[in-house]
This record gives sequence, C-alpha cells and structure tokens, in this order.
Amino acid sequence: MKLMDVLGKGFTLIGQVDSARTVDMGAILNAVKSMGNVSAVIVSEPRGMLGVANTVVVSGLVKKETGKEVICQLTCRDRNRAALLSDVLAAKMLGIDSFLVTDGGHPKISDTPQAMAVFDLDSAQLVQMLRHLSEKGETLAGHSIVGKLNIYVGTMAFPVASPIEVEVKRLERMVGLGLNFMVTYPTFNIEALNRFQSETKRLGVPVIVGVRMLQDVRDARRLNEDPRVTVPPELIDSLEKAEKLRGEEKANARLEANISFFEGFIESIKGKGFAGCSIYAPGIEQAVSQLASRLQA
Amino acid sequence: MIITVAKSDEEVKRALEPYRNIVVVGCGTCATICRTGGEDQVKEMVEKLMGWGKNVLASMVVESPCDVRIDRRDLRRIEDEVKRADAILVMSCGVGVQAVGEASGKKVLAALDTIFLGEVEHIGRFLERCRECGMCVLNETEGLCPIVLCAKGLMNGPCEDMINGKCGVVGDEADCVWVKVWERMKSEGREEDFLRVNPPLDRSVKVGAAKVVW
Ligand code: SF4
Ligand code: SF4
Repeated sequence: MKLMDVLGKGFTLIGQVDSARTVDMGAILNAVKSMGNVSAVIVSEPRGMLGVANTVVVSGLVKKETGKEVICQLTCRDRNRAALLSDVLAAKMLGIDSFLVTDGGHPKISDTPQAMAVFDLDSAQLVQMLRHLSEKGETLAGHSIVGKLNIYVGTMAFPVASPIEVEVKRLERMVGLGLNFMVTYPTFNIEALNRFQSETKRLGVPVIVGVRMLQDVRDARRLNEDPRVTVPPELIDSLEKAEKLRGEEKANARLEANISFFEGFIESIKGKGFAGCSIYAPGIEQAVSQLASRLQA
Repeated sequence: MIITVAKSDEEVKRALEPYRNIVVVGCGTCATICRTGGEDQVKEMVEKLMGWGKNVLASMVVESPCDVRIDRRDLRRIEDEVKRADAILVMSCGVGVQAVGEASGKKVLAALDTIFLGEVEHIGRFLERCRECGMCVLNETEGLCPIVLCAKGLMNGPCEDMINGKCGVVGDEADCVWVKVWERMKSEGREEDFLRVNPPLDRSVKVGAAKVVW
C-alpha cells in the first residue's frame, strides 16, 4: 500500500533503518525483515557519519527484496540541486516515491569534518523542488521531465526544539510548499509531543512520532548526551538490570525493557491525533516486530 | 572592512627566500585598523627583514593599496627603489597585493592572510558579516546575513542543529541566526513574514573573477 494511503488509516507503525558504510546489503535487509509487518520503512543516513551507501540505492533494494513501502531520506548536505534531482529520478525508477527531506547535519560535527558542506538548496527549497517535479513535471529551472512522478515529501520535525514557535513556523512554511507528512525527531517526552500536536494540528499534515529504541544501557547514556534527549530513568533502570544477566537472557531482558517501555509510550500517544509511529531500533530490529504484535494483542 | 591577520614569520621568510632587495608597502586603510599593515607594523617588518639579512630599499604606507591609481601615485615617490627591488612585500589584503603588483609590474609577496569582510566592534574584535554572494538577501532576512551567520548558509532556517536558540554546529554559544530573524520579525508583529520562502542562490553569479564596469 502506498504511504499516503497508509497514513490516512488510523495509527500505523513504520520502521527505520540506517544505511551504513558497507557493501553488505544483506545486513540491512535482515534488519528490515526482522521488523516484521511494518507498513513502511524509512531508509535514513546515520547521524554524524559521512559517506554511507547511497540511501536511494539502499531504498530501492529494500523495496525490491522485501516489497515494503520505503521512505528515502534525502539531505542537502552533500549534493547540489542537480545531484539531488538525479537521485530523485533514479529513485523513481527504483519504485521509490516518498522522501524524508532534511537539511542534514554539518560535516564539521561529523566523522569527516574536512568535507565540503554543500547546502546548494536547503530543505525548504528541496521540498519545493520535489513538489514542483510532482505537480508540474518540471525542475525548478523549468526543464521538463520525461514521465510522471508522484512524489510524497515529508520532513523531520523537532517537538522539543526551543524556542518551539520558530520550529512550528518553519514547518508551517514547509506545509505551504506542499509538505505531505512529518516525522518527529525521537523523543521520550510525551508532554512535548502533545504540545507539538496541538500546535501543529491546524497545519493538517499527518505527524508520525519518531521513537528510538536502545540497545543497552551504554547506548542510553550516549543518547542522553544529546541536550534535546532525556532517556526516562525507569528505562535506564531496566536496561541496567539486564546488564546483570548473561547471554541470551541478557539479550532478551534488553529487548523486553524496550518493548514494555514503548508499549506504554505508544499506547499513551495513540488516539491523540498522530498518524503513527516510526520506530528506530538500530541493532535490535526484532524488537519492532515483537512490539507490534504486543500492541495488536 | 577587510580583515587581515599577519602570516607567521616562517612563512614570510620562506616566501622571501630567493630575494634580497626588498620594498615594503603597508596599507593606510583596513590593514591600519587591523594593526596588520599600518606605520608601526611596517616599521617592525623592516627591522625583521634586516635581521634576516635582507636589504630593505624603501618602505611606505600607501593610503589604499587596493586602488591601482593610488599605488601608481604613491609609489612614484620611491620609483628608483621599486625599480631596483627584487620583490615588494605588501602588508595589505590580497586585493592590495595584486593591485600593487599591477601598478608596479614587480614580483609581489603577501605578508598577511585575508580572512573576511567584517565589522569592527573595537580594535582587536572583528566580526565576519558578508561573504559577497552577489545577490544580497539582507532585505529579506532582517538585516542579518544567513550566508555568514548560518553555519550551513541556509536561506530558510532554522535546521536540526538549533539547540535552545543557539547554533549547535558552531558551538561556542553562537546564536542561530534564523532564531534571531524570527525574533526580529516577531518583535514587529510580522510573524507571517517568516513563511516567505527565499529562493535558492544563483551560483552562476560567483563564477570567475567578478567585474563591475560602467
Ligand atoms: S547576503 Fe550576506 S553574503 Fe550576500 S551580499 Fe548580503 S551580506 Fe554579503
Ligand atoms: S542552527 Fe541555525 S545557524 Fe546553525 S546551521 Fe542550523 S540554521 Fe544555521
């Protein structure tokens, strides 16, 4: 089912997988397959890592091998407007027509700080370019495209941004350009999500809530270093308890810590007007499918 | 103001290596304000060169070495020395260095690094404010340059790296310029102006050495 049809139908679960600095597509496919029956998968770029396998190609392969609906992340960091266009056309040939557009992190705060930061277009201009392609079949410069593109464009939203009003206004600007959906930057802050929902409801664009599962207690602490993220102490506690176990028991306890926490989390945001939830569980993708069946039960 | 800083002694020394008879030219405008090419710095440089065993034929501060006409006029006063010089060491921005070269027909060397177009808050505190994009958008951005002040040069910010109104890319407590733009619009009750989408820059404007002729 196409993404926009999915987003109109109650609360949906989608998965997220990062591309990687790898030539092993198998690992990425296994990650996606172990997510189970999610309605779509976001193929994203890992934060702070420059030079991973092209998300367009990875998206195409995920779609081909798993048959899932794919949302391909596109950032403005490494590609000028021409390279972005050629990626979008190639993506379309691979059956990808949903894009998650972001500005992209600056190389300076990545693992390759010497690289040139491109930002020929910014995320608003890229949304504009994609809408233009989809509606008029033309590039921003007015060159026509052979064939039809039906493109859906989403962007990342930051419910914990401060000041939040400027973030809401930025999103409103994007909506004016024809934005189709938003995915929130992972947060554990339900209050911020609800506030965000009430402030963006009037924009009339589906909001998918981003959540981030934690591999282990170290992963939780690392994530806590981001000033915008506070991992709830009860989740850290249960991950810490898992550390005392061994082997399979430990792995299961870590999964269970995530699943039981996010079951509660998702139950409490369901019915609040969100279109669904995007679950990013790097390295523990099987937790996504277990959580999904728990939520269904 | 064009902001300059001195190159290291080693670098200047290395550049001067093949030359013995030197003329030193300073700048009476920007580099004087930056204290990198004024009377005092030229004097210090002359002493340094003599210490390195160079033969300094003449030195002078040209009012504005970026103006070829002024170079021609001022250098006339030391015409003979310039003629005999192996090289002219210019203590000005890169524009001045090249203009002195053009006016004198001599080998020119740069004593300074040109780092930005900036505002002078006070002597010793210079802040970059323009990167000469050739299609100034200050009228759309509340008089704040997004090309310099936004780490990504975004025309429609803010971005995912904004943290509590600050720029997470630059760090060091630098403000996110897009939050500043928003605040200025808001303080005047023009919040809706923030919805305007600034178009992509036309990069062809900055291809090759630009020229203005009239
Ligand atoms: S927009 Fe910025 S870089 Fe461009 S001319 Fe204006 S001040 Fe200079
Ligand atoms: S935080 Fe603000 S100033 Fe810094 S890169 Fe993002 S938009 Fe630009």
